Amino acid sequence: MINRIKIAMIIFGLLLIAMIGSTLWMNYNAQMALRRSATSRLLHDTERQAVNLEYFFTERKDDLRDLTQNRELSVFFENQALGMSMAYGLRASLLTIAQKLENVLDNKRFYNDPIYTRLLFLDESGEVLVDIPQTEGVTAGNESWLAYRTPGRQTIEIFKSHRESYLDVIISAGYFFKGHYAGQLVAVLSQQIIFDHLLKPESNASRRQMELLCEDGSLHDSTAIRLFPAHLKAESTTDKLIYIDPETISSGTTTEIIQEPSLAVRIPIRKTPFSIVVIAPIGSLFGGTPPCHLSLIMGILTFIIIVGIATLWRLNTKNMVLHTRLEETAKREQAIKKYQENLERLVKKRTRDLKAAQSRLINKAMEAGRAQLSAMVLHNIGNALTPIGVFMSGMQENDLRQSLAHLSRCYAELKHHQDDLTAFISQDARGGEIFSFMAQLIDDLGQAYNKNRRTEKKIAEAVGYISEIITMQQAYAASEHEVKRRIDLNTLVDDAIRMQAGALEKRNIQVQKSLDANLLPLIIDKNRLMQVLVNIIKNGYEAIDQLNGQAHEKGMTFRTFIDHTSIGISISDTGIGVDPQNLSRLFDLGHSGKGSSGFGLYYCKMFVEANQGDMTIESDGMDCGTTVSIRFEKPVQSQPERPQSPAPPPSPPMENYHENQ
Amino acid sequence: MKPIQKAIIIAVILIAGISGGWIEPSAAGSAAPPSDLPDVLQAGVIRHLGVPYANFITGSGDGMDVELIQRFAAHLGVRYKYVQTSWKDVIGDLTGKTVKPMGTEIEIIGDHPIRGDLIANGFTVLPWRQKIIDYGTATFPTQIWVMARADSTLKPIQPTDQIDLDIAAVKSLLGGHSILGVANTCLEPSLYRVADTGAMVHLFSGNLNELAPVIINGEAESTLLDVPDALIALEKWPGKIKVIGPLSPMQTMAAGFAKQSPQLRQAYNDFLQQCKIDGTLISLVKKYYPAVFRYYPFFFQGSEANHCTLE
Repeated sequence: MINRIKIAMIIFGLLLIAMIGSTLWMNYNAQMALRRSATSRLLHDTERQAVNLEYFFTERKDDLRDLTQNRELSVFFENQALGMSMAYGLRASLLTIAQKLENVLDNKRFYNDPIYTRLLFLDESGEVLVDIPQTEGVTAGNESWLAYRTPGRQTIEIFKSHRESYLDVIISAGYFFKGHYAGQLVAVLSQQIIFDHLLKPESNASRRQMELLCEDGSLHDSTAIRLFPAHLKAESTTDKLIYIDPETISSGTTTEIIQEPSLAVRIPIRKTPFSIVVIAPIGSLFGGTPPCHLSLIMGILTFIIIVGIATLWRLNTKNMVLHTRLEETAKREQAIKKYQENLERLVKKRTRDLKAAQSRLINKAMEAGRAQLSAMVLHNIGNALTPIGVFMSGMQENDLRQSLAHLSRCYAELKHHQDDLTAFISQDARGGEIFSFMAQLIDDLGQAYNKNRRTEKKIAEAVGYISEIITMQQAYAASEHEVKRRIDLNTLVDDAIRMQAGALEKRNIQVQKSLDANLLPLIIDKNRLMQVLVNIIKNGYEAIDQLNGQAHEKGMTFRTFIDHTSIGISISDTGIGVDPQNLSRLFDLGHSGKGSSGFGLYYCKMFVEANQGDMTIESDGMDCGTTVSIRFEKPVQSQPERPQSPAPPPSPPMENYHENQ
Repeated sequence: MKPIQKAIIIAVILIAGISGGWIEPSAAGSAAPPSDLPDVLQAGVIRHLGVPYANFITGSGDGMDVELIQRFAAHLGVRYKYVQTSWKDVIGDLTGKTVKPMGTEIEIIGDHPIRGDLIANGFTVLPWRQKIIDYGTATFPTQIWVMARADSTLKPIQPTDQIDLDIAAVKSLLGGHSILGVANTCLEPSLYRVADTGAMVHLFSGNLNELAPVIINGEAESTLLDVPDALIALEKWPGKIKVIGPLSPMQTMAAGFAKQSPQLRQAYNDFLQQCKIDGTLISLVKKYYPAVFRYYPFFFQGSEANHCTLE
């Protein structure tokens, strides 16, 4: 999923870059198109202006053409051909021509300004015949006009004339009378018309400068109203666009029209010696920065943005990853928490269950202990009842009914012979035997009585023993609540041995006790400690039982001890022992080598440890017996307190039995 | 080059030119009798005497009569040569005689080198001229008009159908006004008794063509002008001059021939007749005097009809 997102993001990024790239490219193209458009517009405007100027000059040529076709001129030359003199006919013609020229001068206007400042009519030699107005004009003297004669050409031509550095535009038309060059019409155009109207930018705010460029490279500066050698450099003569730098303009000449790098458009005005030059600062045309700069800046900005986006994306990705991880962590934590809560609940439940189970186990253990104790009690009671039964059997076997029957028969015989009792006793054999029989009978009854007395005594003893057992059972009957009391460990050991006396006796297990008489009283729940001891003893004789009749000495040794730090008891048996590998598992819950619940030792250890004690099992190996040691912290020395436990019951007979044995 | 060497070279060239026919003997001022058609044909050139006048001879190499004589030369198969002369010398240049008109008569006052074979420059048929030369068929109508400057107090007459009444009306206006004329020409004021009207007559010594400019320039208030010149003046200076009215009945203009050149004149008349028939003449008139048809529509009717027929 993440890979797909990455691929999608990469594709999106590539598309974004492609889109931005195409946008930049389109922007660059648009900028270039704008530049081309601006250049084209400048060219177009300039061309239009050139066309306007061309049209203007064409109109002026038409003016002169009209003049040359004017009848007055023809009349002059006709009159001249007719031999008229300047005094009369030619003068009249010239006056007419002058009037005509004045009319042209006055009527030919542009924006209400006269187009021409001077009109001249020359003869073929260049002599001025008519000069309108008669002022000191652009050129003085006749010699100057010779340059504007066009005797070999019938075309109307435009000249530039500059006196000092002022530019005059002159239109000159040769007059051909009947096919022969006869004179010249010369018109001087108004500078105001050319430079104030025709070469005026459309907008006053425009920074464009329109000027006339002469064929010889001199440029008219309308600001300073003068000509100066411009030397505008073009790559070729046909180039319309000239990139000019102020420094490329003539050195040593100051001009105000080009103060900054500019683009000049030079459009030749057809059929004139002039080109129109529109000089526009590049900055005003295309803006201060070239399009590549804008694209470059946009590219850099885009790159920065992309990098920023990428960084942000990366950060965002990291954040997303972190966020995702955090979310996952949170989810996990939440899950863990939930699991934990569940676990806690489960643990609690299990704990509760365990506690319950433990409680149940404990209860069971306690019940088992009780049962064990009860079994032992019952066993002991059984043991006690067995002789009673035997005694009762013996008593039953000692049937007094026969003696009573015999006695009854003796009584009946005697009663029957009551009347002759003497005779009968004396005479009759039978009577005689009655007495002996009765003596026997009395003897038998006496024996029976003694036997019964003994039996009664034994039964009484057995009942007493049972009573003792029951009393001890009641004394060690574990309650549900732990009750700690000061106890004498030795007494407890004796009681435990006594409780197990039946089992031990049954197995002919020699019990040896080594009880330290200096033991300090131990504050503990004696009932539960009793169950521990009973359990250990039970394990001991069961371990001995597992010997399966091997010829081993069966014995259990009980030893109590006290040292500087602890007080305890060790119970050793000569049973089957424990495999060293299993030593560490003996206290595990559920572990049992006998197929039991495996709770006994676990409970014992828990109880001992709960009472700041320690319980260990030692064995040298299989068939080497086992020693279980229990150590409690040595209680603080205090005034001995008599244990409130019931007085130890009298030693059971079996102890005596053992001892007897 | 030294001046003496230069003079020698020029002399040699002139001699060679004369001997080689570059310079015509007549043009050089010979005293030979007037040439007739055989002479012209023999010489291979026809010499056209002319005075630049109106549009008959413009002075610039063309003109109605120039073209007409050029065509005549072509018709004859000879070379055309224009010989410019003056009103004073034109008769002498043709006839070899210097004459002085005296009313309708003339007085031969001397010889004159013959320079040409015919005169054609809007040469008005006048009685005194007929005494010394012969005219070919008339080619152009003419009349003597009184022309005044536009701002003159002279007012044009109201024309009538009778030319005499019109002339009288014009004469009645001239009293006290200055008027120009040219001696020995059709514009000779005495020919029309101008002085009798009380007008202040001035003889203009300048070019006959300058009469209109003279009054335009204010030198005089009015002038005599023949119709061709008047038409030209009206066309050249429109609005500056005005026609007051006629001072003579209609006259004609025709080419002049020496009385010793009847064959040449006949050949010319034949040619002119042909020109009238083929429309050449009318086309030349239209070319040089388009306005004359307004004033003299009936003069060219024959030529017009022929022309139209031919067309």
